[in-house]
Amino acid sequence: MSAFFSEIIGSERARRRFFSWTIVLVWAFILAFPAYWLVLTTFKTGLAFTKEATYLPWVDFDPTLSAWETVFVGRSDRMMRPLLNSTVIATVSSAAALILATSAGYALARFRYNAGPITGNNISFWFLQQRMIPAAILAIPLLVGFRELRLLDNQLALIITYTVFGVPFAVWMLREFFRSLPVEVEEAAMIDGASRLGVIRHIVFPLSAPGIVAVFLLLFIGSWNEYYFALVLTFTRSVTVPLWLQGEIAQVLGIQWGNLAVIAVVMTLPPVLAGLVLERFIRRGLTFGAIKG
Amino acid sequence: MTQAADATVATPESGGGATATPMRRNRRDGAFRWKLILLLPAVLVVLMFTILPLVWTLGASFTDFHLFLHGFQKDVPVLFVGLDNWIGVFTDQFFWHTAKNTIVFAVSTVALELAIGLAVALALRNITRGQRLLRVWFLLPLFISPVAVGMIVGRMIFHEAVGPVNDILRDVGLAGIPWLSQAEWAMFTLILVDVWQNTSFMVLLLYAGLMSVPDELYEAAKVDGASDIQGMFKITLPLLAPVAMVAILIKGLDAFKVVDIIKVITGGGPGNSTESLTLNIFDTSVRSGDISMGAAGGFILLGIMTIFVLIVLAVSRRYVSTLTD
Repeated sequence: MSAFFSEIIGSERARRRFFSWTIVLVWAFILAFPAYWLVLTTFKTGLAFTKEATYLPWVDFDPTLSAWETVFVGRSDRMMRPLLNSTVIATVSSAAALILATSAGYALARFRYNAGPITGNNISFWFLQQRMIPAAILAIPLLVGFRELRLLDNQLALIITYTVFGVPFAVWMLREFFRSLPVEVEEAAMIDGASRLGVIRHIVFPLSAPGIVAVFLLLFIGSWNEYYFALVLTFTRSVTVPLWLQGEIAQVLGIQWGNLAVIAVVMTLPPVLAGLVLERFIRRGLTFGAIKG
Repeated sequence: MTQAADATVATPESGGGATATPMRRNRRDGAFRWKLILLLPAVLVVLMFTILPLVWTLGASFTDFHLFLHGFQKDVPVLFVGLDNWIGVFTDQFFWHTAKNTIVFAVSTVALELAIGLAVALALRNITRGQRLLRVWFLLPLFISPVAVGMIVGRMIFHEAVGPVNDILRDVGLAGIPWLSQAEWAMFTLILVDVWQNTSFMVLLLYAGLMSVPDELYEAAKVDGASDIQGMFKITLPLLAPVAMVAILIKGLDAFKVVDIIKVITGGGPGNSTESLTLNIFDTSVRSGDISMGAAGGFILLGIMTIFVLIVLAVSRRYVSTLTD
């Protein structure tokens, strides 16, 4: 068998490279095709979609901008609210979670906590454990509680929820990040008489900016894409982009695929752009244990 | 459990139970004050909005609390009903039907994602050109909302009448596959959609793990006359096992909570063949307002997830011990 392949493809090394390229390219194609299909669909009208599958613009079908027009001009009133809601909710909740998590992550990385079983490691692990609790459970008390507070279908409910669920994960990652920074610089500054706040402002922040930005992006992506809590806690005024898309899919009048595709593009662009920025940090060796899924 | 937590960060230097590097300072410089001021807000927020609600929900699972009754009429007393809800859930066949769906989904997706992810990560390592571009490309699905992925991949690519997959199948003379309209296929389609999105996570972690295996090990093995296959099973896979375990835990726990792609693609159908536990609990607690019953169901889901974690940890410990023998 091995000799057979060697004859066709040459050395063992070349053979291995050939197989590797095959796997990688097939997988790259599988990932790429739906993206191509999505963009393609935005340029189709009802007819081009409902008859049969078409693959190439100008060859198979005549591309039009009508779906873009419908979503951005004709029905722009439907788009503004969820887009604005998502932007506000994701930005505010990520910023709030980042502030809480940066200070806690820094504290856990630099101070020794030792009160019986309450050690630094245990606190960090306790934070991480919160990730395991199913949204199916937590949505229940949040629904009841926010209803009592008359915050249902209010942006504030989702801002609070996303902040709280961003914190544990961000604390864990930032603690790991701060631990990877040299402590000596901070110690030297303190010996020179700098205060703790001065150290944080002039040394810790500049040094840790990449990590903090990366965590902010991850939090933003997570909040932007979140679906279940938004489904439970909002109805009309405060719906976010994922709910808007789902609502459009569930239209009774038959599915308008072109419009849906445009909405999906609009919805996908911000987190993917954030992800591309984030990728630079990941390449620099920040693997973060967990990408928020 | 603590071991798993420490290993969760894939950077090599943080493995093991390393302790925090303390500032070697005493209370005089105000460190004591700072360490509370900085830590407490985050702890309090989590206590207030996660732990407290969790305890409240556990309590509610032993009552008859109903959103549409007690939520509106404050004078109706909430009654303690003991284990009624728990027994109700445990004897509810439909609950276990959705539990089975969830377990099938979670186990299949994690297994497929691990296998494909390993193949792609290994292949990626052997490639000399275009690696950076491909790595970025392989990462992108992780940033897309599952709702959008469900619509694009689940509803459009696997569309039975005008989707490209069935179109190509028919072009080569085969019959189109009932991806969404038949129960057996619908679950399979959901699994494929999840694989499309989340295999990237496995690639990311496994590739990082592979990069931390020093080349010298392979060279040494080669000098000793080991074949590629032997190198793979004796060096690569054992050294990758800890990273793989973490990836399995994270992705597995997410998969047990699946709801968004199901809601978008099948809505739990056809029939109830793809309804997951979370969707079931959503219908019970949020839609029908039966808070107490939903609460009991939610904690049983948490129990199932805990069992999953324990199994993964036990298997991995066993695997590690067979390696060291």
